[in-house]
Amino acid sequence: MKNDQVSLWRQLAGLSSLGITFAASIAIGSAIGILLDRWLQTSPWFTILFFLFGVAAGFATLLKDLKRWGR
Amino acid sequence: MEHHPTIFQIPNFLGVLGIPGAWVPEHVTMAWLVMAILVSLSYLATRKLEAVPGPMQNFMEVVVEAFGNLLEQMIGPKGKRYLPLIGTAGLFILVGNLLGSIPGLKPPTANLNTTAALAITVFISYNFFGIREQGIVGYLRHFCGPILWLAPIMFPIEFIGHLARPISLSIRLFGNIFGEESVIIILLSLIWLVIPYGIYLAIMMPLSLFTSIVQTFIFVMLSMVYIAGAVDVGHEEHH
Repeated sequence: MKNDQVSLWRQLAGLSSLGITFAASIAIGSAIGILLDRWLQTSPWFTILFFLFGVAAGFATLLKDLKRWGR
Repeated sequence: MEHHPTIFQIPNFLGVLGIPGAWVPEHVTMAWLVMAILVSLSYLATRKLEAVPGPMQNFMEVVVEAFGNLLEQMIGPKGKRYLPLIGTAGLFILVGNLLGSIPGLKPPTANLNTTAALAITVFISYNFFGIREQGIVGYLRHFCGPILWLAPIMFPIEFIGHLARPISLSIRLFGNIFGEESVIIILLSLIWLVIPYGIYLAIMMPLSLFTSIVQTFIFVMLSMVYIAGAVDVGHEEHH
Protein backbone atom coordinates (compact mmCIF):
# COMPACT_ATOMS: atom_id res chain seq x y z
CA MET A 1 0.00 0.00 0.00
CA LYS A 2 1.25 3.49 -0.78
CA ASN A 3 2.54 5.77 1.89
CA ASP A 4 0.02 8.59 1.52
CA GLN A 5 -2.80 6.07 1.59
CA VAL A 6 -1.51 4.70 4.88
CA SER A 7 -1.30 8.15 6.39
CA LEU A 8 -4.85 8.84 5.22
CA TRP A 9 -6.13 5.71 6.94
CA ARG A 10 -4.12 6.58 10.02
CA GLN A 11 -5.68 10.01 10.04
CA LEU A 12 -9.15 8.49 9.70
CA ALA A 13 -8.50 6.13 12.60
CA GLY A 14 -7.13 8.87 14.81
CA LEU A 15 -9.76 11.45 14.08
CA SER A 16 -12.67 9.04 14.34
CA SER A 17 -11.72 8.32 17.94
CA LEU A 18 -11.71 11.95 19.09
CA GLY A 19 -15.26 12.21 20.37
CA ILE A 20 -15.54 8.84 22.03
CA THR A 21 -12.18 9.23 23.77
CA PHE A 22 -13.24 12.60 25.13
CA ALA A 23 -16.43 11.16 26.59
CA ALA A 24 -14.69 8.05 27.89
CA SER A 25 -12.04 10.15 29.66
CA ILE A 26 -14.67 12.09 31.59
CA ALA A 27 -16.57 8.91 32.43
CA ILE A 28 -13.45 7.14 33.66
CA GLY A 29 -12.35 10.13 35.71
CA SER A 30 -15.74 10.35 37.38
CA ALA A 31 -15.82 6.60 37.98
CA ILE A 32 -12.42 6.65 39.68
CA GLY A 33 -13.51 9.59 41.81
CA ILE A 34 -16.78 7.97 42.86
CA LEU A 35 -15.05 4.70 43.71
CA LEU A 36 -12.36 6.48 45.74
CA ASP A 37 -15.05 8.42 47.61
CA ARG A 38 -16.99 5.27 48.35
CA TRP A 39 -13.83 3.57 49.57
CA LEU A 40 -12.46 6.43 51.71
CA GLN A 41 -15.84 7.90 52.78
CA THR A 42 -14.79 11.39 51.67
CA SER A 43 -17.72 12.29 49.45
CA PRO A 44 -17.75 14.53 47.39
CA TRP A 45 -14.13 15.65 47.21
CA PHE A 46 -12.50 12.92 45.14
CA THR A 47 -15.46 12.89 42.78
CA ILE A 48 -15.00 16.59 42.05
CA LEU A 49 -11.21 16.31 41.79
CA PHE A 50 -11.21 13.32 39.47
CA PHE A 51 -14.05 14.70 37.38
CA LEU A 52 -11.82 17.69 36.71
CA PHE A 53 -8.91 15.35 35.99
CA GLY A 54 -11.16 13.49 33.54
CA VAL A 55 -12.12 16.67 31.73
CA ALA A 56 -8.48 17.73 31.63
CA ALA A 57 -7.49 14.32 30.28
CA GLY A 58 -10.19 14.58 27.64
CA PHE A 59 -8.96 17.95 26.47
CA ALA A 60 -5.32 16.88 26.65
CA THR A 61 -5.96 13.86 24.45
CA LEU A 62 -8.11 15.93 22.11
CA LEU A 63 -5.41 18.56 21.63
CA LYS A 64 -2.65 15.96 21.31
CA ASP A 65 -4.58 13.98 18.69
CA LEU A 66 -5.57 17.10 16.77
CA LYS A 67 -1.98 18.27 16.72
CA ARG A 68 -0.82 14.89 15.47
CA TRP A 69 -3.50 14.16 12.87
CA GLY A 70 -5.50 17.25 12.06
CA ARG A 71 -3.39 18.85 9.36
CA MET B 1 -38.01 -7.68 18.17
CA GLU B 2 -38.19 -11.44 17.98
CA HIS B 3 -35.20 -13.55 18.71
CA HIS B 4 -33.32 -14.68 15.64
CA PRO B 5 -31.46 -17.86 16.34
CA THR B 6 -28.25 -18.53 14.48
CA ILE B 7 -27.58 -21.70 12.55
CA PHE B 8 -24.86 -22.95 14.84
CA GLN B 9 -26.02 -23.65 18.35
CA ILE B 10 -24.09 -25.64 20.88
CA PRO B 11 -25.72 -27.00 24.05
CA ASN B 12 -24.49 -25.10 27.06
CA PHE B 13 -21.83 -27.39 28.44
CA LEU B 14 -20.34 -24.30 30.12
CA GLY B 15 -23.19 -24.33 32.65
CA VAL B 16 -20.77 -25.70 35.26
CA LEU B 17 -18.92 -22.37 35.02
CA GLY B 18 -22.10 -20.51 35.90
CA ILE B 19 -23.04 -19.37 32.39
CA PRO B 20 -26.85 -19.32 32.20
CA GLY B 21 -29.08 -20.52 29.38
CA ALA B 22 -29.72 -23.71 27.47
CA TRP B 23 -27.27 -22.80 24.69
CA VAL B 24 -23.76 -21.40 24.62
CA PRO B 25 -24.13 -17.63 24.04
CA GLU B 26 -24.28 -16.75 20.35
CA HIS B 27 -21.28 -14.46 20.25
CA VAL B 28 -19.15 -17.16 21.88
CA THR B 29 -20.24 -19.76 19.34
CA MET B 30 -19.58 -17.32 16.53
CA ALA B 31 -16.15 -16.46 17.95
CA TRP B 32 -15.34 -20.17 17.97
CA LEU B 33 -16.55 -20.41 14.40
CA VAL B 34 -14.23 -17.58 13.42
CA MET B 35 -11.37 -19.33 15.18
CA ALA B 36 -12.18 -22.58 13.39
CA ILE B 37 -12.21 -20.78 10.02
CA LEU B 38 -8.89 -19.06 10.71
CA VAL B 39 -7.21 -22.17 12.07
CA SER B 40 -8.28 -24.35 9.15
CA LEU B 41 -7.30 -21.64 6.64
CA SER B 42 -3.86 -21.33 8.21
CA TYR B 43 -3.49 -25.10 8.32
CA LEU B 44 -4.44 -25.46 4.67
CA ALA B 45 -2.08 -22.66 3.69
CA THR B 46 0.95 -23.91 5.62
CA ARG B 47 0.44 -27.66 5.31
CA LYS B 48 3.10 -28.02 2.69
CA LEU B 49 5.10 -24.86 2.17
CA GLU B 50 6.72 -24.50 -1.22
CA ALA B 51 9.13 -22.04 -2.76
CA VAL B 52 6.67 -21.49 -5.59
CA PRO B 53 3.45 -21.07 -3.62
CA GLY B 54 0.12 -22.56 -4.61
CA PRO B 55 -3.01 -20.37 -4.64
CA MET B 56 -3.80 -20.93 -0.96
CA GLN B 57 -0.30 -20.22 0.29
CA ASN B 58 -0.04 -17.28 -2.09
CA PHE B 59 -3.20 -15.70 -0.70
CA MET B 60 -2.11 -16.07 2.92
CA GLU B 61 1.34 -14.73 2.08
CA VAL B 62 -0.24 -11.63 0.58
CA VAL B 63 -2.38 -11.11 3.69
CA VAL B 64 0.48 -11.57 6.14
CA GLU B 65 2.76 -9.42 3.98
CA ALA B 66 0.18 -6.62 3.98
CA PHE B 67 0.05 -6.61 7.79
CA GLY B 68 3.84 -6.76 7.98
CA ASN B 69 4.32 -3.81 5.63
CA LEU B 70 1.75 -1.77 7.51
CA LEU B 71 3.54 -2.45 10.78
CA GLU B 72 6.90 -1.45 9.34
CA GLN B 73 5.47 1.80 8.02
CA MET B 74 3.73 2.67 11.26
CA ILE B 75 6.18 1.50 13.91
CA GLY B 76 9.49 1.32 12.08
CA PRO B 77 11.99 -1.42 11.25
CA LYS B 78 11.21 -3.28 14.48
CA GLY B 79 7.50 -3.35 13.66
CA LYS B 80 7.46 -6.97 12.53
CA ARG B 81 7.83 -8.07 16.16
CA TYR B 82 4.22 -7.13 16.76
CA LEU B 83 2.87 -9.01 13.76
CA PRO B 84 1.45 -11.93 15.81
CA LEU B 85 -0.73 -9.69 17.96
CA ILE B 86 -1.85 -7.22 15.30
CA GLY B 87 -2.30 -9.83 12.58
CA THR B 88 -4.37 -12.10 14.80
CA ALA B 89 -6.58 -9.29 16.05
CA GLY B 90 -7.04 -7.91 12.55
CA LEU B 91 -7.90 -11.23 10.94
CA PHE B 92 -10.24 -12.18 13.78
CA ILE B 93 -12.11 -8.88 13.54
CA LEU B 94 -12.23 -8.96 9.74
CA VAL B 95 -13.58 -12.50 9.50
CA GLY B 96 -15.92 -11.86 12.42
CA ASN B 97 -17.33 -8.70 10.83
CA LEU B 98 -17.75 -10.34 7.45
CA LEU B 99 -19.69 -13.23 9.03
CA GLY B 100 -22.48 -10.71 9.57
CA SER B 101 -23.08 -10.60 5.82
CA ILE B 102 -24.00 -14.28 5.76
CA PRO B 103 -27.68 -14.79 6.61
CA GLY B 104 -28.16 -16.84 9.74
CA LEU B 105 -24.81 -15.95 11.22
CA LYS B 106 -24.06 -13.13 13.61
CA PRO B 107 -20.78 -11.28 13.86
CA PRO B 108 -19.13 -12.04 17.22
CA THR B 109 -17.96 -8.41 17.26
CA ALA B 110 -21.59 -7.26 17.61
CA ASN B 111 -21.28 -8.05 21.31
CA LEU B 112 -19.45 -5.74 23.71
CA ASN B 113 -17.84 -8.68 25.53
CA THR B 114 -15.91 -9.81 22.46
CA THR B 115 -14.70 -6.34 21.52
CA ALA B 116 -13.82 -5.56 25.14
CA ALA B 117 -11.72 -8.72 25.26
CA LEU B 118 -9.88 -7.61 22.11
CA ALA B 119 -9.37 -4.07 23.35
CA ILE B 120 -8.16 -5.16 26.79
CA THR B 121 -5.70 -7.54 25.13
CA VAL B 122 -4.34 -4.68 23.04
CA PHE B 123 -4.23 -2.40 26.09
CA ILE B 124 -2.28 -4.84 28.26
CA SER B 125 0.01 -5.74 25.35
CA TYR B 126 1.02 -2.21 24.45
CA ASN B 127 1.74 -1.36 28.07
CA PHE B 128 3.79 -4.55 28.31
CA PHE B 129 5.70 -3.69 25.13
CA GLY B 130 6.37 -0.20 26.44
CA ILE B 131 7.70 -1.53 29.73
CA ARG B 132 9.78 -4.15 27.93
CA GLU B 133 11.39 -1.55 25.67
CA GLN B 134 12.01 1.22 28.19
CA GLY B 135 11.95 -0.41 31.61
CA ILE B 136 9.19 0.27 34.11
CA VAL B 137 10.71 3.53 35.41
CA GLY B 138 11.38 4.89 31.94
CA TYR B 139 7.88 4.00 30.81
CA LEU B 140 6.19 5.54 33.86
CA ARG B 141 8.30 8.67 33.50
CA HIS B 142 6.48 9.45 30.26
CA PHE B 143 3.27 9.59 32.25
CA CYS B 144 4.60 12.41 34.38
CA GLY B 145 5.22 14.95 31.66
CA PRO B 146 8.31 17.08 31.11
CA ILE B 147 8.03 19.34 34.18
CA LEU B 148 8.73 17.75 37.55
CA TRP B 149 6.44 19.79 39.81
CA LEU B 150 3.51 19.25 37.46
CA ALA B 151 3.90 15.48 37.76
CA PRO B 152 1.18 14.96 40.42
CA ILE B 153 -1.30 16.62 38.05
CA MET B 154 0.03 15.12 34.84
CA PHE B 155 0.08 11.55 36.11
CA PRO B 156 -3.69 11.13 36.72
CA ILE B 157 -4.45 12.97 33.49
CA GLU B 158 -2.22 10.69 31.43
CA PHE B 159 -3.48 7.67 33.36
CA ILE B 160 -7.11 8.49 32.60
CA GLY B 161 -6.21 9.20 29.00
CA HIS B 162 -4.66 5.77 28.67
CA LEU B 163 -7.61 4.05 30.35
CA ALA B 164 -9.94 5.74 27.87
CA ARG B 165 -8.20 4.03 24.95
CA PRO B 166 -9.52 0.46 25.38
CA ILE B 167 -12.99 1.87 26.02
CA SER B 168 -12.98 3.88 22.82
CA LEU B 169 -11.54 0.91 20.89
CA SER B 170 -14.12 -1.55 22.13
CA ILE B 171 -17.18 0.70 22.01
CA ARG B 172 -16.47 1.95 18.49
CA LEU B 173 -16.13 -1.54 17.04
CA PHE B 174 -19.11 -2.87 18.98
CA GLY B 175 -21.31 0.11 18.15
CA ASN B 176 -20.65 0.06 14.44
CA ILE B 177 -21.12 -3.66 13.97
CA PHE B 178 -24.08 -3.89 16.33
CA GLY B 179 -25.82 -0.97 14.63
CA GLU B 180 -25.27 -2.41 11.19
CA GLU B 181 -26.53 -5.79 12.40
CA SER B 182 -29.64 -4.26 13.98
CA VAL B 183 -30.54 -2.39 10.80
CA ILE B 184 -30.18 -5.59 8.78
CA ILE B 185 -32.36 -7.54 11.23
CA ILE B 186 -35.10 -4.90 11.09
CA LEU B 187 -34.98 -4.78 7.30
CA LEU B 188 -35.18 -8.56 7.09
CA SER B 189 -38.14 -8.64 9.47
CA LEU B 190 -40.00 -6.33 7.04
CA ILE B 191 -39.10 -8.42 4.04
CA TRP B 192 -42.72 -9.16 3.10
CA LEU B 193 -42.93 -5.51 2.00
CA VAL B 194 -40.53 -6.45 -0.87
CA ILE B 195 -39.01 -2.95 -1.01
CA PRO B 196 -36.85 -3.56 2.09
CA TYR B 197 -35.37 -6.52 0.29
CA GLY B 198 -34.17 -4.19 -2.45
CA ILE B 199 -32.80 -1.80 0.12
CA TYR B 200 -31.05 -4.69 1.83
CA LEU B 201 -29.42 -5.97 -1.34
CA ALA B 202 -28.61 -2.60 -2.89
CA ILE B 203 -27.59 -0.55 0.13
CA MET B 204 -27.04 -2.58 3.27
CA MET B 205 -24.93 -5.37 1.81
CA PRO B 206 -22.27 -3.08 0.26
CA LEU B 207 -22.47 -0.81 3.28
CA SER B 208 -21.94 -3.66 5.72
CA LEU B 209 -18.96 -4.92 3.71
CA PHE B 210 -17.55 -1.40 3.78
CA THR B 211 -18.15 -1.02 7.53
CA SER B 212 -16.55 -4.39 8.24
CA ILE B 213 -13.35 -3.53 6.42
CA VAL B 214 -13.13 0.06 7.65
CA GLN B 215 -13.69 -0.91 11.26
CA THR B 216 -11.06 -3.63 11.05
CA PHE B 217 -8.65 -1.11 9.59
CA ILE B 218 -9.38 1.46 12.28
CA PHE B 219 -8.92 -1.04 15.08
CA VAL B 220 -5.64 -2.29 13.64
CA MET B 221 -4.39 1.23 12.90
CA LEU B 222 -5.15 2.51 16.38
CA SER B 223 -3.52 -0.52 17.98
CA MET B 224 -0.40 0.20 15.93
CA VAL B 225 -0.47 3.87 16.90
CA TYR B 226 -0.74 2.91 20.57
CA ILE B 227 2.10 0.39 20.31
CA ALA B 228 4.26 2.89 18.44
CA GLY B 229 3.52 5.51 21.09
CA ALA B 230 4.41 3.13 23.91
CA VAL B 231 7.56 1.74 22.31
CA ASP B 232 9.20 5.05 21.40
CA VAL B 233 7.43 7.90 23.13
CA GLY B 234 10.39 10.20 22.59
CA HIS B 235 10.11 10.09 18.80
CA GLU B 236 6.34 10.17 18.77
CA GLU B 237 6.20 13.61 20.40
CA HIS B 238 8.00 15.29 17.50
CA HIS B 239 5.41 14.36 14.87
